Amino acid sequence: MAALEYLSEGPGLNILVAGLLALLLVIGFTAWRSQKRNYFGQILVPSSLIILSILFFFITFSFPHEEAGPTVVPRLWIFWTCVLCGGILWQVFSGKTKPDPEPGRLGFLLLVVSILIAYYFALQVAGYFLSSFVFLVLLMHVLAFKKKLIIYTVATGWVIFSYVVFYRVLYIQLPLGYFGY
Amino acid sequence: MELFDSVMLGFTVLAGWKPLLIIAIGVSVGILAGAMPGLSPSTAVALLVPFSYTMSPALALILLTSIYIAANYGGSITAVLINTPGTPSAAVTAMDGYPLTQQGKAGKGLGTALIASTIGGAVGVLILILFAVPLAGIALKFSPAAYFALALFGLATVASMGRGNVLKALAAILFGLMIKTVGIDSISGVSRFTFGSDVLYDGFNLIPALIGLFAVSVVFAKMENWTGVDRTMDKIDSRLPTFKEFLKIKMTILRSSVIGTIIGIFPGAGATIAAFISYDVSKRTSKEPEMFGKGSLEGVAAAEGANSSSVGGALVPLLALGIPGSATDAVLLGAFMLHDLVPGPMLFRDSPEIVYGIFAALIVANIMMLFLGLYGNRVFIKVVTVPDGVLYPLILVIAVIGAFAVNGSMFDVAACIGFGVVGWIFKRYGYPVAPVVLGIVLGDMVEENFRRAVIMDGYGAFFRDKLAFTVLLLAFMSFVYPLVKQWKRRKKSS
Repeated sequence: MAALEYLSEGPGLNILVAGLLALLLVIGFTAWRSQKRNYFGQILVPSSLIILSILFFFITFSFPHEEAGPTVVPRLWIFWTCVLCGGILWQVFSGKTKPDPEPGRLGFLLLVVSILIAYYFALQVAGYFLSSFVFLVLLMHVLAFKKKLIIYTVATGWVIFSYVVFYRVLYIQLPLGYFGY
Repeated sequence: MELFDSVMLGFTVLAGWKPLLIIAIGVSVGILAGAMPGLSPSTAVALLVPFSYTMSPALALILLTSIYIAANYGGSITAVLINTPGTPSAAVTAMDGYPLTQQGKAGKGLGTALIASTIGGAVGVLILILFAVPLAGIALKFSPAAYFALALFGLATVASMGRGNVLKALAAILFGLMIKTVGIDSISGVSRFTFGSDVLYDGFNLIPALIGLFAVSVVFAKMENWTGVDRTMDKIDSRLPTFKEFLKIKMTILRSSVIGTIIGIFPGAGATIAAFISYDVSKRTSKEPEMFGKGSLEGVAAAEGANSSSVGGALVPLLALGIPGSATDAVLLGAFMLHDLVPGPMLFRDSPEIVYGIFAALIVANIMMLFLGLYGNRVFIKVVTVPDGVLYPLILVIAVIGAFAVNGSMFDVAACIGFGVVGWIFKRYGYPVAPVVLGIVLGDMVEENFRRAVIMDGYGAFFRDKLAFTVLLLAFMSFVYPLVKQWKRRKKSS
């Protein structure tokens, strides 16, 4: 019990998180190298949910123990997640699930996600209006949209629309960044 | 006869151009606000409260309730056209509305949503007029155990979303339920799964999760299969559903309208749960259940009929007892008080012109919504003609501003992107995303009522309360039936 409580918070929790991440990597690596390579995603998704459940389960030991207390319902969800994900894994290993879909342009998707994440950070540094303009222009270029006039009109139009509707009419305090834009 | 006279009194309040203009403004603002992701009906109503302060109480409340009813419909526009639900309840509309748009039938999707919303709204108001007081009394007799059973019944609707793999749908709903346990526990005040981070104290907000799971994940999926060729939809059919198609879905609309009104009456239940339950019931009773999720008009009608009629239902406890059943009702309650009015039985006796004026205004607002929607749809539908290379970047900026607008929090934007990635992974491997939303919506209701019931009556509460036990049995059967059906199908095919 003391060990469980140690792993539920503080340095113990860090060790647990690192351990579970390592376990997930091992599962992923093993699935990739095994004959079930075509089911890599089908194995990794339920495994990730089980590992998340295990993490949550350990954390519940840091909550006060009482009848109908804060641990009861999370543990109920954790239990059923493990049971169901176990069932999904059983389906995978008994050949009752379709293999993973063929991967598409994952590199291109990663590029778009990276631009979106960069936009997220730029919002706080350069402000909403400036970064939204740059984001729209950049992403339309990346998506190979050719008509420059439309690109700049749409980006400018969106900035004006969001300024008028969200900033002026609805008083939503959009981030202005260091430059005030 | 007395009721008829009261309703007539309500219509006299609307005599003249001013009330009609106010309803038209309210409906227009409601549709636009509902269509904007991040602006919920409660936000739209709250934003207009200061403008209504100088109006007479009747006109002020007519304006605000018109916004309320139209905002629920407005959420379906972006849900159908770009898979971005403007309101949480429109997430259910998107499940069939967006596939219709992908098939070039955006007009059918929008038209069905509009007609179902109008009829649903009217049925909700009718039930409100006829049964407001007795229905409110019944809803109040529900114990926490019965509320828990009702929420569990709501969760059972997940069985309709499995598309062949119920286990995956159930895992998705459990993911949503687990996500909902993050933050401060409302009963004990303990912070749970926050990893010491302040931003997680309030847990994950529904709107950013919704936008991420539905809109951002679609963009990611498109990017994975991006061909580099900029395309627009080849053929867009902007025609409304035909009369024959309408006749096919008329029972679905009526049934979902009744379901929506009943669910709406229960404080805390609301439009989203109503839409999910109605969708589930419609799929189970449909002659073409296999079409659900692939662009079924019945699916759109079930979701929209229920979420619009839930407005009438939600007004029942507010007007009859002074208890706000939803966030928007709480804002409306504030507006009542701003004008020195206290909702409850006395309001019916002392200010019938206001109560029945609101009822009459809701009927007129529904009719105006139909006409404004019919003309508006012709404009909205143009969104589909926007080239992909412009549309997807725009969806992402709308998603970001929608997520931010809820609380003015950058954490919500990060959560929205995170949920986008989760949604993309889930869809890629056959896990439906709607159950995740259902889990987030119902998580608090399930947990709070379960624990309250146990604290008050022990674990036997669910068996002693006959109503709770009956609903629990129904929920159990709803869970088990699709599993048995799937098992039988597999056995047959093998």
